[in-house]
Amino acid sequence: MRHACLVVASALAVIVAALPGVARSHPHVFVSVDAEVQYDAQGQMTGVQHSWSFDEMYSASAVLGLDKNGDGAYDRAELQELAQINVESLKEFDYFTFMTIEGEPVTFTAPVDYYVEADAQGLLTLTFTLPMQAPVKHGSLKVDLSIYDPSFFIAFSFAEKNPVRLASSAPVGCEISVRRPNQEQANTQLTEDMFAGEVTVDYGSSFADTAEIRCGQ
Amino acid sequence: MKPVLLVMLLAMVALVAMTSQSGVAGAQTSTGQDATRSAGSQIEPKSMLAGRSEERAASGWYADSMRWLQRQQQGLNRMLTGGIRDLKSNGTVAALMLLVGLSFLYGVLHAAGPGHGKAVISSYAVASAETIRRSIALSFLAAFFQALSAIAIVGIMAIALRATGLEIQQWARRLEQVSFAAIALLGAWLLVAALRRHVWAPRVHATEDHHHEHHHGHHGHAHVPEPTSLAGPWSWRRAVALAAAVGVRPCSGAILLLVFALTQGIFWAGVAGTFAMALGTALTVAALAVMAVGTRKIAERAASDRLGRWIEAIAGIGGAALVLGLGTVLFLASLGPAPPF
Repeated sequence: MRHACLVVASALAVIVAALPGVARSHPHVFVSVDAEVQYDAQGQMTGVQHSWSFDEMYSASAVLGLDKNGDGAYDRAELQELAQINVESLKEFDYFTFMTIEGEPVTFTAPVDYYVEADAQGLLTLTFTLPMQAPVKHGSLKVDLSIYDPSFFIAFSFAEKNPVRLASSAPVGCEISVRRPNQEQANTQLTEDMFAGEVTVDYGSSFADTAEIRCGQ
Repeated sequence: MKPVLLVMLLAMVALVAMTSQSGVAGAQTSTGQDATRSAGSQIEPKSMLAGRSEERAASGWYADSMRWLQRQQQGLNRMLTGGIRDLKSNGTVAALMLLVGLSFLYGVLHAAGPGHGKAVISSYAVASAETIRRSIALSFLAAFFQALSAIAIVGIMAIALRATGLEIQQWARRLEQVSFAAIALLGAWLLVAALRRHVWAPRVHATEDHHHEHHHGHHGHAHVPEPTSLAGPWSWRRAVALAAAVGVRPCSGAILLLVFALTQGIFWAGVAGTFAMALGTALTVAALAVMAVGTRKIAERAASDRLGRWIEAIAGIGGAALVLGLGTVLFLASLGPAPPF
């Protein structure tokens, strides 16, 4: 029956139209981002050191069962396996780190110096360094850095104060300006350190917090 | 006629409520963006700004409402952890009521985002011409199973087996895959049944006396002999099968709440919160399922006999195909790399 084929075809069209909505998730994990752009002795940009602090609920569930020595605290050694698994699975997601130099995306290699720490309240922070494939002389190049999850399962937002900094070896005259497209008035406490509001894969970056790094003019 | 009108009225109210929320969110967001823009204008060239604002505009009210939902979720997330700690230190009924209320709200909002079988249940209800009441029952059953699944996984793994958070996450993921696969299988089954009814045996259909009342009776579509019980009229077995398929996937939000309650030493509070959350989820899912079923009923009522049969065929086959498609897409997506956190 030709009509039936038509019906099935239109149903399939509906499915395809619904695809991005279906695949999209909603955030369960909230991350406050702190990043330091690394430079070598020659003043070339070499990578990014991340410190990502997690929300209380995620932190509690991530450390569950990891207090191996039973002292009620979670030290770095106990959390090393977690750090390892985290950075390894981050690769599939490009480390959620999107850096462009004059609009060209930067490629990063495997993270180094990674560890997870728990603070006095039990909040976890994952620290790792993401080396760039090749060092870049900053000069007058426009460098933009944003951290976000295009699929929105994890909600990243820049930390409230100095979320992105430059290492001390950075060339003189470099400045960072942070853009938070999705931040609301500071008087609404609820949304003060709101995460990057990227909603669709296509528009994700335009809703993410972004740091613009400019050196010299 | 009256119940149908009532449903449509409710659906309209829900729709208006949803749009007005997104409208408010849009206004809020644009204020925020304006502030950022004017602050950023000192450092940004004009052309860049223009390009960005266009991008933002292109995302529209849907993006705005999604962001609004997500903001509320983060706020609620924090209030929930605060609520559990408060309950732990005070142990008052008021603290418990607050936690239950917050969890309920979390559930309502949570289900408004993608997931939780909204689309699956709506499609199923439309495909199998369920009544409004049964669609609601189905939504609540699925949410109840989802709550049980989360409680079971945390209860068994964290308490009995002393598993780590990572292991719980892996198991939740496995259950999620099982759920999506089961939904796809159920969809395939429904599709075969619908095709048999409307395409492969159209003569049976055409020769039958087709009254309008048929579509609204509580006996469903018993007028065509069905090959399997799954394709027949409302059966508890079938409803439970669908609810189980959807509900076997534990809600990640509920797992997080349960584990957090566990680490605070008041697991029972997490269980109470999880059921409240499920109630909220069920409400949102049921609202959408009712809208979907109501739309079908309106269309059938308005249509002539001939058109009515077409609507029946389209809803039956399309709805089943949708369940199959959703299950397949979700299953394939769930095979991808697991999120690191």
